[in-house]
Amino acid sequence: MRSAFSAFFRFLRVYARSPLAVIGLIGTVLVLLAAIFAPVLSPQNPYDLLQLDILESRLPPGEQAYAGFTFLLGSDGQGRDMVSAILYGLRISLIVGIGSAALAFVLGTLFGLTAAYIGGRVETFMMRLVDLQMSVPTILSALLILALLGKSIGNVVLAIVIVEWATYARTARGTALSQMRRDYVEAAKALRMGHANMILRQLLPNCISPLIVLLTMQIARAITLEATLSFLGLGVPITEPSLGLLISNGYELMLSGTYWVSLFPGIALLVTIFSINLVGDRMRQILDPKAAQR
Amino acid sequence: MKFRRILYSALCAAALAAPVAAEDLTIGVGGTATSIDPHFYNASPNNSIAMQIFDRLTERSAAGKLLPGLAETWEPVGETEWLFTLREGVKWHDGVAFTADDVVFTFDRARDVPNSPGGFGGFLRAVAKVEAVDDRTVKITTHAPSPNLPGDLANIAIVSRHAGEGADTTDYNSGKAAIGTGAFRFVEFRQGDQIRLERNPDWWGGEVAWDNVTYRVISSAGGRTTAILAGDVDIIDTPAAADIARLQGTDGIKVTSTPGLRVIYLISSPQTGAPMKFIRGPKGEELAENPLADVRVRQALSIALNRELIVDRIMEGTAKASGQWLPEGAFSYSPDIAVPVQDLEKAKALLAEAGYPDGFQLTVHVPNDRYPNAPAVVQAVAQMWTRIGVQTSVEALPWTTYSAQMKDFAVKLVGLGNATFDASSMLINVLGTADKERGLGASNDTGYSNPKLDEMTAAALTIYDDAEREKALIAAVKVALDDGAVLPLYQQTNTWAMRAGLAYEPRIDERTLAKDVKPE
Repeated sequence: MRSAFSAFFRFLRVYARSPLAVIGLIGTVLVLLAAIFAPVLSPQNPYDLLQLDILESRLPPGEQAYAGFTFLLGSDGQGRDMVSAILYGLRISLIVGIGSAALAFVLGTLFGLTAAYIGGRVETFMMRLVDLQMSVPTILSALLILALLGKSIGNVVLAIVIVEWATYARTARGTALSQMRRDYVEAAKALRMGHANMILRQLLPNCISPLIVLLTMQIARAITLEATLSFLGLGVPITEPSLGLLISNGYELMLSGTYWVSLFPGIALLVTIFSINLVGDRMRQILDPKAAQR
Repeated sequence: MKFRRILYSALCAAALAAPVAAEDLTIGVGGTATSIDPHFYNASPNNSIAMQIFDRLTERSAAGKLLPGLAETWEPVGETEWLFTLREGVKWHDGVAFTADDVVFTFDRARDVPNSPGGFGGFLRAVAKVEAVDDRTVKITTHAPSPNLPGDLANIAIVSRHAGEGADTTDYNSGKAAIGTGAFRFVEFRQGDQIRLERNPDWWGGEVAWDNVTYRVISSAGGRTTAILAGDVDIIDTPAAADIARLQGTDGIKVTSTPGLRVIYLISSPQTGAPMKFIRGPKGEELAENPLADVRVRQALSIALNRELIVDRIMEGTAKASGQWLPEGAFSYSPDIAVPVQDLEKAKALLAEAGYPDGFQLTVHVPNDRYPNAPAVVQAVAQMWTRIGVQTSVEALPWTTYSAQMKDFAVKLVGLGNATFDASSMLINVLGTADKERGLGASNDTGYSNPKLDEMTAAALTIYDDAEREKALIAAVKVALDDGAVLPLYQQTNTWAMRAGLAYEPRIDERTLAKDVKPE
């Protein structure tokens, strides 16, 4: 236990050598906390129609609400407090982003490891499936899936999983192939270890670091994809906007000077993606043996 | 020698043409015309294009007044016959003379175009027989007395028999059959992108100002505003409500608008069945019966709405709140029907009386790419309904998906262009009991049926005396509204923005006609 701790602290020390990465980590933690404590931090529940009043629509930042609080970042076309809408929207964006990236990670990794382990024609077939999936443009296949299944948060997650799993599968298989020739694998085979044990206990731990890096990067990608889908009107329900939908709502008002409806959610999205990417980038530098800078 | 003569004549032609510079007009439109076939789809973007290439027997002015078109005069003969006398000397774009036989061909074709998503058959509902008496006279026999016939025929573009016989929609789109008598000739159609037209120098209606016209599809309102601000286009339709003040304040751009005929309304499905998917009890439990079948519930939903507030806050004045589907000044508009005033207490009482004291859960559907601001309007509606206990969620869908699933929705937002310029298109097509043989309920996908209303509508439409017919129509409108059959919200204002130096008389039927855009 103690050695695990000290390993973690050693990792942190290496990590902290890049100040930019520290900023990214702080940003990520703040964004996560903001999302988790959204109901406490928000003056209003933006998804409760009873708390919204169309009479308070499109008020500029600083106006007073009937309910007593101040619209610090203004209100949108439905009378939603932008601060609350952004915090709740962040929640949906993160749940969808992390949830779908994690699910795609599990499925894709297992798929890739299994392919590498089995080898031969089965592997070729499995990897051609991956190639097929990766040859279809991401947005196009996500749109198609949502058009077929209908709109809901669950389906958005599903759509992102379907378009993203292949990336993990390819990385997992590539890493596992190089491991398959190692002595420990031979040794485990000689011990007649079961297939599941081989994949989960032997291959997975030795392939995990590039996949963790990929996961951090793909979370940011999944959040962006969800925002894009919502922006196109195919993501979450319009009464429960995520960041992408908030930006889309305000987009039409840009020319009329009601800048706050899309500007602030845009900044929130930018900060989120940027922070997560900084963390992911640093992880890659540390975990990737080929990367020069440590 | 020969070469020199050709060169000489080419130079001559160039010299002659030079003083008159080609006048081009580029129009930025929001709606996509889905075909050049004028009988394929009865929708404003399609009709706008059809009205450039083709003419109709009768036409409508910008304000909706009936004008002579290809028919110079028309008169009823007896109870069930009309005689139309055609204009003399009209030629098709390919030079062939226009005759009464083309009209006979048109009215036969327009009834039923294969794969049409919504055709023109409803306007020919009354027509029993069309005959060419001679080259310039058409006799139309109707099933019943039909005083509205000349008005209905203002919707049917006349196509030629020689180009149209055996032609299908693709032949029109390619231009092969797109031979009309209209002010412009067809040049090119690229669906969802642009349509190009050129002047028809022989048009009977006089000289139009433009040699070449391009309709460019710019579906996002922001995109249209940017295009006119940048000078990429000369005129745009339907700028976003939020942009109008900015456009008006910009030098070199002017805005013109008129109250429109299009009503935006909510309509509920009173039948139990598929719509129940979108109705639940107050705690999410299944309900045995459809609450919307109770007239008191429908009335409660109507008076829970503050229409003036919606128009003011969301439409920003680009619509007029209304309690009926026709705008002020239209035939069969009634000044006695006021805009319903919001009364939350009374709405709650009505719900309780109907057996829903705790309300119920409801999903309302709205298209997100068809009517300006419609998703925001329905969210405001959801706020208001939630305040009387009807917990409302909103689902916004693209029109293609929306229209395919429409019949299953519990409550939906729809727009109606009132193409007959009176109350009858709603009474017949939307509220009429669905019955193909009687030509009723062509767009009735809610299962609404009110035999008394059907009777009143049918009776009203056979009255030749205008004042009497108007009175009878208004009586039918009142019956429908008292029954909560539709919940009209507002009529859209039709707005165009153009560069200074152009003039366009705003049309109540929201069509954008290049032939009526004039240089000042």
